[in-house]
Amino acid sequence: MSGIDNDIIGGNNAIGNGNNSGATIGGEPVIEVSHLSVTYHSARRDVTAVDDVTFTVRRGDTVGIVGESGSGKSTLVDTFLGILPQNADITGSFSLFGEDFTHAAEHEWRRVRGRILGFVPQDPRTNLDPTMTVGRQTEQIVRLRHPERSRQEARERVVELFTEVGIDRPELRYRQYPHELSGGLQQRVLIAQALASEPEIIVADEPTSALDVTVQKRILDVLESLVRKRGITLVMITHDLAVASDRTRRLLVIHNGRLVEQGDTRQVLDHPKESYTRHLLACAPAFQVRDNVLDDERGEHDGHENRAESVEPSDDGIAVNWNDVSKVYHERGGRGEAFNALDHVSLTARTGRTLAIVGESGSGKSTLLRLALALSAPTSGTVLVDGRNIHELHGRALRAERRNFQLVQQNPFDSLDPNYTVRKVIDEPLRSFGYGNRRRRSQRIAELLDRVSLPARLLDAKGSELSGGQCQRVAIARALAISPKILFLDEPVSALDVSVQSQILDLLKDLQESLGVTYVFVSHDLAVVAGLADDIAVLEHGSIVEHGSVEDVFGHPRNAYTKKLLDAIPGR
Amino acid sequence: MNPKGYAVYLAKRIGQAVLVLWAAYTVTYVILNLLPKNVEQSILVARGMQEAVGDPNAIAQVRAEFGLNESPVRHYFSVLFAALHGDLGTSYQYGSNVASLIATRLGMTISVSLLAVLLAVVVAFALAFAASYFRQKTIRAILQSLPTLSVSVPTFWIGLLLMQVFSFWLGLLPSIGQTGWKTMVLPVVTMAIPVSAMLSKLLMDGFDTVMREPFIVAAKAHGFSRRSIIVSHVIKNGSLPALTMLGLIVGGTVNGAIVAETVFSRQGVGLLIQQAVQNQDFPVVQGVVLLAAAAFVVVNLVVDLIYPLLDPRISHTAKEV
Repeated sequence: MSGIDNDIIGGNNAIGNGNNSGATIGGEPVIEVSHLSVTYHSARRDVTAVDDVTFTVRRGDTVGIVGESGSGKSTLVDTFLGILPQNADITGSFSLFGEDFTHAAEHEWRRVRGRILGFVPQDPRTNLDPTMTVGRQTEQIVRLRHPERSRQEARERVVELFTEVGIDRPELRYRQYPHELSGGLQQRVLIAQALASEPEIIVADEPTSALDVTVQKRILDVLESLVRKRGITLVMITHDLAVASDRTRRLLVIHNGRLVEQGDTRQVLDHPKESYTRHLLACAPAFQVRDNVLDDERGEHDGHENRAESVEPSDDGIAVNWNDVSKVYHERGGRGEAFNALDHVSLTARTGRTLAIVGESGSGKSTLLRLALALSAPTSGTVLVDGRNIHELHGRALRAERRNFQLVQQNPFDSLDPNYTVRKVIDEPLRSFGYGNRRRRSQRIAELLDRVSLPARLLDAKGSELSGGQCQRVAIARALAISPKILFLDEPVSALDVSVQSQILDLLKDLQESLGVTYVFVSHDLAVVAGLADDIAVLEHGSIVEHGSVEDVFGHPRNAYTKKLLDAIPGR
Repeated sequence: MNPKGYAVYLAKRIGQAVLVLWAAYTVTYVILNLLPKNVEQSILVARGMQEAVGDPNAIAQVRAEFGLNESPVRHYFSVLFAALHGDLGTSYQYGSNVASLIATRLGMTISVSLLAVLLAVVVAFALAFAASYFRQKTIRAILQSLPTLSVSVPTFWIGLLLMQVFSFWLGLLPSIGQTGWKTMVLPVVTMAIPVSAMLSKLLMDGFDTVMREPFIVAAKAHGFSRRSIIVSHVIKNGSLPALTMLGLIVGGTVNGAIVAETVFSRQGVGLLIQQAVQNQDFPVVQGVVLLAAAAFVVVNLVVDLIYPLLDPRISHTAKEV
């Protein structure tokens, strides 16, 4: 493959759109990688995670490294940061700031630590010490870089950094513990910590996944402006092509450890040379939004017509009806402060159609699902599922009613028992609802596996041996096992790679066409629901701010918040 | 933390503690009463009245004196009632008040036990620190096998071995006696070894788990040295699981005291209960069990109260929904 022709990606290519980081473009090389391979040795086999990769990153540039999980992106990051596990073996060479670091010892690494820095915000909470205030943690880093500063000076610097990354009330935040901050604030603390080291290179590993779009946009904006202001070199690892297209000037595409394509970001995305890049582009949901919904003549309409032909949704059928529901939580500590998770929400899901509920974390979308699943009771209002008020049902009657609706959860790895075989996972609901005898169940399992396009050989594989996409297919098969009328999907694809995402969305579309199941699809990502939903409800702070058909909401959003959500979709 | 919730929490915990003490007292009473016994004779022997052992009058007098004629249930309530008023009864063996008997011996045991726990904690932290500081495989393997090794060796044997080496071969420390700091060294070390073994095992596991946390990798990437990472992040986070166990371990020092005081012939509570069990001196056994239970309950309460100081995520204020 084209891993060798590194010269075309020198800083020179960036001249074309040199509207951002000014004078430092095309500076000296800060990361040089030459024929680098990284192999992990384990007792059973060797895995080559990075395979003969060659490229150069110059000072002041912003470079995106794009690939799916397992492509070797994270191994590259670990290599640059000198935190590869001991069983990793490096061949070829790489240098940082002009010095060879291929087999550097720990004390040599200590010299560049802080100059090149990883920013790993994927799960911000695990990146912060839970037993120390965020201020103290950041202060330690300031003092590490500037041992001459007094604690008071370091403290002032921390407050300054907190202000710079847009943390409100920095003095208060200084004294708070990580668990007392929201995810967005934790992210900002991590950025502040990265800046505290005064790095020359920031390696940002998946800076956006697992984040609400508007938070994601703010974080990226903060990162970008700081990078520009300080002339920091940014290497951004992401599986999200849309983010890469918005935020980077050069792009490296990695597949199975090999560098498939590299060059100027715009050029790579507009004229991809390699089939894998084209494949990635075709899968990215944000680009589909651009292609389908927004030219609303084409994309959306044929989808609907096809669907109407196969299963005729009964016109006025209502599968789920939230009727003026409110849900009030009381805050911990009993100070009597009430929190309105849902505030007089009325919403219906039409039979055989897909209702998408979109909102950021804390908007109340999960509460809506929990109410419809009878996992919690509304403070006021009623929820009718398949025409019955499920909160009036108890015991046996409720259990019988549960046949009609099933849930597919967000994280496929967490929701399946890793020690159960696929057969056992799918068999469980069948047995518990007394479906047929052993032979009938066995047939049904085979049929379901076929429906979700999984090979029969996986029947005896365990959850821990499956990929994320396979896990989610099993979870869908399990949910469909007892032929429910309604499927509740809680962020079913947000933990998956883009190409897998689009496969799962396609599968869901096919299943709806052939089975006529109603979907209630909860997502924080408007781009994901665009291709699947018929109706969209946008939730903010427990209220519905916009509700309508997918064409209306995307084409003519009326609410300011919806517009903000739409604008925040990267790649548009 | 809100003060009202805290008071409620504390009141609940104290209620629980009272319940535990009562249960310990009762279970001991029941078990002791199930044992075949010959209390009257051992009381007479202890009083130097060997010749009266076969005398029905003398026996009847002793039975009346210690309330042994009452039915077991009646007797239980009368001793429980007395215990509630601080009267733990009279020792069969010594003929003196159990509470004051324990009080005179307590100082000896407490000083040795506290020093032993202190030594154990220091050694355990040092071992755990070393095990996560060094990256050489052989050093780590040796350090990590120490706890298992010392837990599997019986305490009395360690005591005898120490005595053999330091008293008889080297002549550095006295083998028995109870005055002067030198006599305390060997009992303290003997008691500390099993405690520190258990603690250091927990700490090593805790440190290892924390060392793999993402925030440790992040700290490393910021350029902190291994030593300062362990000092500022690993120790606090990694010792939380061990802290929970510390309460149980400290409760277990009573066993250690029995062994150490028997081996080194020290007149402490450990030796007292050992002899009391041997001589069927039930009021003393009851008293010491109550004391051990109280120590156990207090230490666990203290541990639970300091837990939220170390881990801000934990709060004792009641959750309200």
